[in-house]
Amino acid sequence: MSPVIEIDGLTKSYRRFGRDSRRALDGFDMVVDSGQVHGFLGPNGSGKTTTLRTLLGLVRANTGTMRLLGVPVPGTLAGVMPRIGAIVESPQFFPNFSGRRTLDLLAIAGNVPRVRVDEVLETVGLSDRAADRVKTYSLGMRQRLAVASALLKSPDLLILDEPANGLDPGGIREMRDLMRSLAAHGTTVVLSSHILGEIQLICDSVTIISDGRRVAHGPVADVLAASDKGEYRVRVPDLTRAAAVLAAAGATVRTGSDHLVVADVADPGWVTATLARESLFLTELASLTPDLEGVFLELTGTMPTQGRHRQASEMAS
Amino acid sequence: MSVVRAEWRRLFARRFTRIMLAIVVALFAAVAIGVAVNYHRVTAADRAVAQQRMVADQQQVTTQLAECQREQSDPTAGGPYNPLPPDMTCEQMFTPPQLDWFLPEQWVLTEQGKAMLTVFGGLLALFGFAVGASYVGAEWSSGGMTNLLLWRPRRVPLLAAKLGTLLFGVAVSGLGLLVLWAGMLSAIAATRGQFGHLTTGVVESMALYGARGIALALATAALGFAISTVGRSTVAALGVAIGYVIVVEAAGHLVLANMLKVAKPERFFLSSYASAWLTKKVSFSASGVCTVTPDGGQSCGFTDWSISMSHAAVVLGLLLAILLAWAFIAFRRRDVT
Repeated sequence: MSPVIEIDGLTKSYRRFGRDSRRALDGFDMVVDSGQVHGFLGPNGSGKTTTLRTLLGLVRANTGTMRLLGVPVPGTLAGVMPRIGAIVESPQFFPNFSGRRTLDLLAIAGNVPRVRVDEVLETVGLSDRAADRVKTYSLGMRQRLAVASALLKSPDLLILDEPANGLDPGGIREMRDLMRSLAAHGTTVVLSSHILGEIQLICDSVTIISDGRRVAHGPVADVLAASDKGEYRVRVPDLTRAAAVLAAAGATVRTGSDHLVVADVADPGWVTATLARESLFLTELASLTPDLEGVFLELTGTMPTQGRHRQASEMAS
Repeated sequence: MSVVRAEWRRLFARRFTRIMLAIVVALFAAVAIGVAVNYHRVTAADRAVAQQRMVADQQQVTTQLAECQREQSDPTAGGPYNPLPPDMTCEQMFTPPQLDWFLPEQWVLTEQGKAMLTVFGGLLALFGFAVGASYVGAEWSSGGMTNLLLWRPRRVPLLAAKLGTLLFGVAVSGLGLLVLWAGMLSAIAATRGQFGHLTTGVVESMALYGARGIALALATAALGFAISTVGRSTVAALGVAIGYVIVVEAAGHLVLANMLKVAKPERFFLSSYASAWLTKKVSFSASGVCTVTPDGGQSCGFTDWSISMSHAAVVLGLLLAILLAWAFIAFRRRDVT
């Protein structure tokens, strides 16, 4: 698979009047292979949107190189832009234009056949409301309109910043199906989202950014596996005795409020056998497989800290 | 070309453009109705009334002329007409009244058409500025500019296409409004006034007044466009315009005239240059130092200034060029966040 997005050593600082400049990207790297659904994750202010804006020529990078669909950008961006559909942050439209007119004008500007307008309206489920003014649309409908505008070009690469923003559960599911369908037909989809469960469900690979730097990347399974510590959650009636037995047998044990977390064991059967020998019988034994949310919170330093407020200065550490 | 087509449709699909066009047409109609209400063609009744007044005035003038002549024949006699002002005779002072003096004032196209076309130019210039500022300002505030750049990432050609579309739109609107205005003036002349001596030269001259009005509207549209592009909002352009009027032309006038004793400070203001462009020339005159003459009188010197049409074109053109260059450079380099 050839990469459709290659970013190498991207830096970007925003000048602020009367204050020190703010570094949004600090040597960021990213690679997205073609035909994938790629998740782009990061906390608020981590540099996601700056990355996408820089990639799409809206923001000028300080240093670094970028290639889109194999060609260097922003130098030759105009050549590849007809093959890229994108929405960045919360897209807004003229409130007094109808959805159809909004798409019509983009289709004219982009030399896209007008028949595509009806097709994409149908795709995102807005055909019935196409003649209504955008100002009468809900947030979710505006989001659908934005996705429709990105689909107008029949893009090879679709970049969507928070596409599920404002969608109800049904809409999120439709969006997920749409992404899958597009990927199945060869479109590479890059999704920036905070809905980590969705990302885990539909993405083949992810890049996680924190404080302007990449902190994890690769296939979702690999990223999850890298954070798998081989821990098990154990519930027994007598937690104190069970903890002592397992520790004496060589396991590492942490005690929770109603369970134990056991690590450094060969397999879960060893836990069952060790406790059974002491007449301690399990009520629960579960592998603590990391999910994307846990990995994200840990890697980006945004895990809530019990008992005190998390400070902004702690995020980077 | 596709961008121009899309922008053309967008320009006239915008509610702001339509409302501004409606406002300009309404203002034209208000001015036309005002003129139509205040003037009418001379009727037989008007003539009869004027004749009566003229006869009455004639009698009074004859009496006053006789009195004046009597006072002049006896230099020792006093009276209101003795002595007469230098180089003045009683016959010059009391000329027989004419019927025209007592007829209602007539609205004559050849005499008042140019002033009305100057009003047209002023209104069109305001229309141009508002539409130009809003056209690109709304794109920034709505996020439409970001959307457009995702389709057309070459910024300078994109902005040039938008500017070109705007100017063409204002020119077409201006031409249409000029035809409408000319039609209204002709209707007034035909029904409530007179055309006057409408020669080819007069018509050409009035057409040039209209053309200069459209040209000024193109300039103000580009000005609004440029300021909105730099400030990234319609409010920025309107704020700069209102600020200029309040700070420079109102407060600045007070400071220059009263504190710094600058004579006729309005000769420096952009509104004077715009006026000179529309009317071909604007003149200012201020009295200078007065000196006592040997016979005990006073002699005051006057200083005159004028702004010609070509002078105005250079100043306004230069200002426009600087602002447009600034807008294009800012747009080309700016981070769209």
